[in-house]
This record gives sequence, C-alpha cells and structure tokens, in this order.
Amino acid sequence: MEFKKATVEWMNSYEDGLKRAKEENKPILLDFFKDG
Amino acid sequence: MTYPDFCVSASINQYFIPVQINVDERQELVERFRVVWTPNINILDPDGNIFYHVEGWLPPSDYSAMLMTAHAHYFLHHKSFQKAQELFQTVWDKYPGSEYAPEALYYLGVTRYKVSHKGEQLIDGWRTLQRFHPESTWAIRSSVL
Repeated sequence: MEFKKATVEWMNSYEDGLKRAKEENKPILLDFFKDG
Repeated sequence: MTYPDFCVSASINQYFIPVQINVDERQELVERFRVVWTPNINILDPDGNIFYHVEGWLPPSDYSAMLMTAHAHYFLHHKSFQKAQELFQTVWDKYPGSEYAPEALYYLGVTRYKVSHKGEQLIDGWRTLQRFHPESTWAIRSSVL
C-alpha cells in the first residue's frame, strides 16, 4: 500500500527544480512567498 | 491555509515539481517573474516557460481545481489534447461551482474539437458553458459562436 504524503515536498532551488522537471518530464509549480 | 490540505498537497507532489522561493532571497527571480504580490504561483514547463499564473490565496477546493486546470493547460500546450480534455472534464465534474469551472468548460470545448476535428464538439461544449456560467468572462468569450 502506497501512502501519500500530507505535506508538500518543496524544493528551495529554482535551478534544481528545473533540472528535476526535465528529468521527470513534469511541470514546475513555482510558489513565491514572503515571510511575515 | 491551503497547503496543509491533504488533497492539495498530494496533488502537488504527484503532478508537479514544487519549488518555493522567498521573495526576499532571490530578487533576480522576483524580477524575472515580475512578482509584485504574494502568494504568487507560476506553472512552468520543464524549460522554464510560464503557461499558467495565479495570484492571491485560494481555499482548498478552488486550489485543487486550479491545479487540475493548470495541469490540463500543460497537456494542452504540449498538444496532448486527449489528456487535456480528460482533465478539463474532471474539473467540471468535481468542481462545478469553482471559479475554474467556466475556464474548464471553455477549454473542454476546445480540446474536444482538437481531438475530434468536429466543430459541433466545440459548439456543444460552449453551450454548456453558456448555460451553467452565463455571467462568466469565459461565456462572453464563447459568444462568438
């Protein structure tokens, strides 16, 4: 049985995200946020 | 908050590469993507091209509809019209009252036409849009018929 995780597995590097997107052939969800 | 929602989180993990950027730490990305307000979501293809953008908070149900709509647009822009059609149909089936339903109906008509090459598929899809969401901007755009 595969359990889905309840928290988003965020990457914090745009460049690493692009690389992984190409490897996995998936779109990127790029979320900009501001603290406070 | 939206992200602790299980369905939203699971969908993001399954269908996207999630990248989160603090606007105070990567000014060059803020400028490149012209971020003036947060939350600010861009959906990119693996080459870094934007094909969907959302600004502002969404409740979990609308966020789920948005994710599915964005994913459908990903397939649409990569000419996988059958996959796009299936996702737009699912948005309409599961989230008929969401703010993304009119957009999904609009593009459901478009993708049905792209798959079938039959004009009546587009017309039928847009008639559903005009019937259920007549006040939407998407219905106005479909009124060309």
